[in-house]
Amino acid sequence: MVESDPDEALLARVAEGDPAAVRSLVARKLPRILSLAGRMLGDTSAAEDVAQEAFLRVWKMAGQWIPGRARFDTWLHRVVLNLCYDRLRRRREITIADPPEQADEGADPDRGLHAADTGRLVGVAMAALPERQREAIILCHYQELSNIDAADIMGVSVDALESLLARGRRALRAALAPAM
Amino acid sequence: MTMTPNRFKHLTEAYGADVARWPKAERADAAALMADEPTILREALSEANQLDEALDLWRPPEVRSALREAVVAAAPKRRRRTGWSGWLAPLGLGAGLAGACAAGVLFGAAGFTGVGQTQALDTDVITAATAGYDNAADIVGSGDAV
Repeated sequence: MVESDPDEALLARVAEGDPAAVRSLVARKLPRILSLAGRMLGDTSAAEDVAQEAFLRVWKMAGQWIPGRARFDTWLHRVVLNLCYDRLRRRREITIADPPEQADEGADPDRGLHAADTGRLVGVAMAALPERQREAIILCHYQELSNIDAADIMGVSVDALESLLARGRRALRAALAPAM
Repeated sequence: MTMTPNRFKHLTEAYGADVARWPKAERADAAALMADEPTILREALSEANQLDEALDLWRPPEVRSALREAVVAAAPKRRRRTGWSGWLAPLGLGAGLAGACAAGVLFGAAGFTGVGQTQALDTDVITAATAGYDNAADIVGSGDAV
């Protein structure tokens, strides 16, 4: 059993074909999973494909969801990560001459050029991290999952998660030192 | 786990300076330790905060409306009722006419097809037609919204 899941009631209405519930679930989850896929893949177009594919699985599964067995958000993160790893694996199989396109930081005039540049540098430094360290930082820092949920999704202990996070952040600090 | 300065520093190295990202079970002890030894621990927090701020500048892709609509379009659709009440309402028939037609057709259908098929017809409309026109309006009207 898991703690009460804030998405369960919405999911039940989605399964009944309630259009308002569908829009609510999309508004709640699409930005979240697009961020996850975008940061995992460093490629907006591939991230959009993953988001669409993940939602197809959500629509298919909505009517079969068993309340209390797992948290929907955790399940969804796992689906998206698996789809991302499938793509990363395929990408590795094809020799890549150029580095993948980085997620568009969407220049914000108030933040100025420096902020956009630093954002791009962060993207490059994240892409250079070992996959598991990158995944740990994305889940805990950007997706704001609890350490228990992140460790569960990654299939590691909380201690191992903390080690991945600390090593990843240390590497990022070294890579970004000139920009901080 | 007992909160020590070393554990506190390890938490900042792993989770950053925002205590909301720290393990729930350790937040209160960390706050107590911070109150006892603010100088040493503030330095660890400040260093972690610098990195947090840099990480936050890496913006995720924006959700394009075309993507949102494509995702919504693929969602499960509500099944429309296909009984009498499902197609009478869109015709805009008045309550009386709808009720009377439904009753007439149903009684006719019962005469030709026997009891088995009559039972398969929309029982809501049968009930409405025999109970009165006002009820028929409610039921016919509600059929489209199901």
